[in-house]
Formats: sequence, structure tokens, C-alpha cells
Amino acid sequence: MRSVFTSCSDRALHIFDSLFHVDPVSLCLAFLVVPACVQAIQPGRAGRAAVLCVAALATVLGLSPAVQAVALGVIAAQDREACPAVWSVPALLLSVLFPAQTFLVLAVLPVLFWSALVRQPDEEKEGGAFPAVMGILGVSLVWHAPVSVPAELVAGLGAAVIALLGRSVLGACRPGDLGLLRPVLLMVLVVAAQAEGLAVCARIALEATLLDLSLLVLTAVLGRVFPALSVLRLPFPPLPGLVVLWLGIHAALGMAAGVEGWSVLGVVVALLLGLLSLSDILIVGRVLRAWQGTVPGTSVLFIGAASLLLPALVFGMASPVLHFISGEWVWPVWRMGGGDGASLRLPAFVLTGAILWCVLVRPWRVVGGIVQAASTLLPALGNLLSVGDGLFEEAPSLGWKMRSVIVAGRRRLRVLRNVKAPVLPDLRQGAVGLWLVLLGLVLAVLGVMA
Amino acid sequence: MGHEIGLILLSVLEALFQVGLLLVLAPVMGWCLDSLPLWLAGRSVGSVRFRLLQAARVWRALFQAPLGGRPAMALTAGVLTLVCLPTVTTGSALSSLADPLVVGLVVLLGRGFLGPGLVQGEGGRLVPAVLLLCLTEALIALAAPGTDGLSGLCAMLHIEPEPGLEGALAACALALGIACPPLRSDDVTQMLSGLQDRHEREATRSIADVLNCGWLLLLADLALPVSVGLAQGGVQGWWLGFLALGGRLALTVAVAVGLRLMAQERSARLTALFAGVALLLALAGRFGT
Repeated sequence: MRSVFTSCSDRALHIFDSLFHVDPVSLCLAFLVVPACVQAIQPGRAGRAAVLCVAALATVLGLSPAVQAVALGVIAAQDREACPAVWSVPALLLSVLFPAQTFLVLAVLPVLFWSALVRQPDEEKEGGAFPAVMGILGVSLVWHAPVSVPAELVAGLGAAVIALLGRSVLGACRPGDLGLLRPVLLMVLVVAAQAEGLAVCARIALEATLLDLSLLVLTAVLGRVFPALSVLRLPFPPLPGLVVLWLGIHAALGMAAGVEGWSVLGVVVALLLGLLSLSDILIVGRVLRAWQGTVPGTSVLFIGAASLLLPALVFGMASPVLHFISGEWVWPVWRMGGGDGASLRLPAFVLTGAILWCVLVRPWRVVGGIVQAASTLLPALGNLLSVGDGLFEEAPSLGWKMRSVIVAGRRRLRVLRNVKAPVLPDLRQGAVGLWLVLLGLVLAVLGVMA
Repeated sequence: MGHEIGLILLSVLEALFQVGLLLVLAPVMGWCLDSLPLWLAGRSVGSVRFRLLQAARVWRALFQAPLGGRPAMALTAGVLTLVCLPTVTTGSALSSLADPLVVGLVVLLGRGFLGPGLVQGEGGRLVPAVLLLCLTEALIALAAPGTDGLSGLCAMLHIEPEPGLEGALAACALALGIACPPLRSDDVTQMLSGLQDRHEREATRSIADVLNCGWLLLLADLALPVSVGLAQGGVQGWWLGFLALGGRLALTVAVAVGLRLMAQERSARLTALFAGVALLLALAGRFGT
């Protein structure tokens, strides 16, 4: 009786294994995706969030590329400003036919990030529809494509960042939330380090990825109630954004120390991470300015405490995942190792600073003095974050030759745009059905090829 | 046991001495930055005594009445930089906290918290400065993997000299000095345009001096890491490190004043040139060995 039961459960586990990714990283991403879907809940339309959640889980956990493509299509169809179907449908279909190819991973990324990055951001809706979900899906896409070439992925991401920045400089418009691409870049490092057998380096990059993703999810869940939480992403010292930047740089250069061809690539990744942190400054400044409410001093103190404890909390909760990547484990309360011998003693640094600040302010003289003093910090930070305002206000004055080149390019683009794009029916209505039909087509092609 | 306690006390004493010395040097360096270009152009300048007296007045007022939250943050950033950076030797208590990226970002944060307004074009300084700090951190991790922060780098370069990395770091420091020069007194005046209180205005000027001193010390440490003494150097090593500190700071101030006189501050081309030189030197040093 007992042996029958165990064999049944074994078989069930086997079936489960053959349908889903059950490695710890995928499970952790699935665990993160569920709260991220909270952002999609709107009054009266709870079904949308449920569909989004199920589709995101299917994308993260599903083993078959067809299921992933359908789920991605459903998610893209939920978004009002999604990527044009001319691009997304062929990209998803090809990703079913040739799963885990490098150029197809790069081709699917615009489907995810179109509404957050490419679309002209207007004032009332910031950062696309559900940026946290899209960030996690991008990470899981790279994690499920271990055969892809990391150098090409880094080059593609770098080219995308440069192109988006160049577009916003030349077009005098603000860039979108480029920081969404950072977890994807860090995940590329994880995959590359695992392929080269550098387990410590992979763990450091995974730590940075998970911390960045949890910051994204945290701002997505609580962002509507408490927009000041987005400050946590900034790369300035007490905040966890600095930990992400530092760990990312050291993971990239750890690759450079271990693998021959990564010297230049590691420096490029480090500079890209710096650039993405700068775009975070721009985004957070915009969020703080759009939010008119005053911030009480208690919440500033809360943010300070949270920023000290958050990395330790995230790494502690994700320790099974990190163990899976590499066995060596240190509880990083006082110091975070960079994997190459360097260590970041951020808590000691910040506590020294906090003691100095308290001595200078001397809040014990007045009742509630520390709260009062802390409440002046966030407006000052918002003041500092307004540095990026002037950068994208006006187009640069270029020479005549450059201008004529740009105008000619624009004319050519307009001609291209006038060519009738194939118009698909409104995808939001029959999203699942349409994608099932497309899936059937793909399966037919696969059957013919077999 | 007693020996270890003695060593810890010695390192704490050294950290306190370092902060005191640099806080006295900060107004002197501020005076040099402001007055030397005028003096070299043949114009009369005020005495350094007044600057020191003003700083002393500010510190005395600070002991009597507390600062507001924002200027206190700027001063915290400055003092934290001065405590953490390796100055005379690497043996001071907090020198293991000196990571170039973290310390540089702290100084930039302090500059943002200094006044109620920002200096015009601060965005154009912050962006290249952050990128260059990332590049510096990356080059240190590339050419000397296994070093822990700036003090670890200083100690390692004493044992195993690496000309490629030293040249690259000097080029990085120069690029940082060009892209994000220390605050001028005009900049501080512009920042203070909304402030009425005389005490607060004077305090802000002194805090700007402290922040400038921290930034220049960071650049000096990056440019000449070998001149920092070792913790085990003994008395003679300590005096050598002390002399080297003076020379290093004088050299940095001279370079900053020279850049100001030549009107090459914030020149995008020179910044890119020196950043590229740093990258090439570091890569050449890595592939050459």
C-alpha cells in the first residue's frame, strides 16, 4: 500500500517536473511575481489582475516555450500601450520555434518593456502599466535561456540603453524608466558566471538581482500609498540602491578576473550599471515632484531604518536560492562581500554617520526633535534630485551637417510609417483565444517539421 | 590582551588626530582654492587668518546651538569622508570603510544637501562624476582583484607595485577633478541666495570648505595611493606618511588651481580623454603581466 502511494507521488512529481521549472530561482521569481500583480488591481476589474497573475506564473514556471509565448502574449494584450503587434507576434512565434536563442531573447525584451521605455511618457501614468511584473518576466526570460551568448546580450542591452538615451536627448523628451533593465543585465551576469563555473560570482550577481527585484516589487505594492518608498532605489549611501550598484560592479569585474574575454566587457557592464543608476535619479525625482503631499519625519526615519535592514532581510529570505547557486554563505548584516575580496561595510559607515548627524542636530533638546529634523531631509533630497531636470529639456544645438542627416532619417522613417501596418483585431477582447489559435499554428508547423 | 587594547586605542587616537588635522586644514585649502588664482593674477587677497577665525567661530557656534537637519547632513557627509579616507597611515580606526565609490557618492550627496538651492549646472557635474566613480571602482577591481577598499589598495601597492593601475588611478583622479571641480566661493554664494540668517550663511561656507577638503583628499588618495604609510610602519613610517600627506594635498590643490586658471574645469573633452587613458592603462597593465 505504502509503496503504491510513494510511486504515485513519485510519478506526480515527475509529471510536475516535466511541466514546470522547479529550480529554486524560478520558484523565487514566481514568489515575487504574485505580489507584483497587486499593482494591476483596479476597482471593479479584479479579473484583470488574476489573469495577469496566472499568465505571469505560467511564463515564469512553464517549461514549454509555447506556453511561455502564449502567456507573454496574454500579458502584452492586457497592456493598453503594448508593443505593436507587427513586432510582438513574429517575435513570440519565432521564440517558440527556436527557444532560448540569443537574438530571440533580445527580440522578446521590447515586447515586455515597450510601454515602460519606448512609449512617450505622459504625466498621469508613469512607467508603463506594470513595470515590476515586466522586470521579473525579463529576468526569468534570461534565466531560462542558459545557452544564449552573454556578450551579445550585454551588447544588445547596452545598445538599447544608448539608443533610448540618444532618442531622448535628440528629441528633447524624458527617457522612460531605464532602471527596469538592470535586473535583466544582472541576470545575464548570473547566467554567464554559471556557464563559466564561477559560482561565487554568480551568487553575488544573483544577490544584486534579487535585491533590485524586491525593491521593484516593494515600490509596486506600496507605491500608491507611500510614493516616498521609491527613494530606496537611489544609489546614494544609506539606500539599498547603492548595494545593488556595488554588488553589480564587483560581480561584473569578478567575471573579468576569472574569464579571459571579460576584461572590457566587465568595465562596460560597470559603466552601464552606473548609467542606469543615474536614470533612477531622474525617475525618482519625477515621482517625488509629482507627489504633492508632505512627508512626516517618522516615515523618513522609517525609510532610513528599512534601508539598513532591507538587504539583510532580502538575502536572509532568499538564502535557499543563494545556497543553490553556491554553497558558501555569510549572513551579510555587517559586511557584504563582493566575491573578490572586497567588502562593503555599509551599516558601519551609515551608523557612524547617523551618530555624527545626531550629535550635530542634538534632537534631545526639543520634544520630537529628531522627527522634526528628519522631515527636512526628504525635501532636500528632492531638491538634489532635480539636477536632471535641465538635461532633457531642450534639444542640443547641432551642426548643419548633423541636422540634415537627422532630418533625412526622419523623412525616411515617416515614409516607413505610412506603409500600412497589418492591423490585428483588438487583442484585449479575445486575447486567450487568439493566442491559442496562433499556438495551434505553431504546433502545426512543428509537427510538419518533425 | 592589553597589547590589543593598546593597538585599538592607538588606531582610534589616529582617527581623531586625522579628523582634527583635516578640519584645521580645510579652511586653509579653501583659502588656497579661492585666493591663489587671484594672487597669481597680481591682485590683493585677504589673509588666511580670517578664514581660520571664521571657521573657529562657526565651530564654537555649533557647540552652542544645533544645526538644522539639512546642513547637518552635509557636514556629516564631509566629516565622514575625512574620518574614513586613509590619510597619514592606513592604521586609523575607520579606514577599512573607505570604498572609493561609497565615499565619492557621500561627498556628492553632501554637495546636494549644502544649500537650499543647487548650483547651476550641478547635473552636468553629477552625471560624469558618478560614471567616473563607477569606472574607478571597476578599474581597481579589474587590475587588483582581492583588495578591500582604498586602504587595502594602499597596502597592496606597497607590497606589490602595479604601475599600470597607479597610472590609471591618477588619470581617473584627474578626470574626476576636471569633471567635478571643488565648489567655488561664487557657487556657494549663489546657493545661499535664499538664506537670511547670518550664522547659517557662515556655517554653510565652512561646510563647503569641509566638503571640498574631503573631495580633494579623495582625489589625492586616488592619484597617489603609494604615499599613504602602512599601519605597521612604526614611528618613522608615520612621520614619512605625515610628510607625504602634506605633499599630496599641496599637489592636488596646485592641480585644482591650475585647472581653474587654465579654464579647463568641466571640459567634456579632457574628461573623456583622461577616462579613456585610465581605461587603456589599466587594460595594458592587466594584459602586460
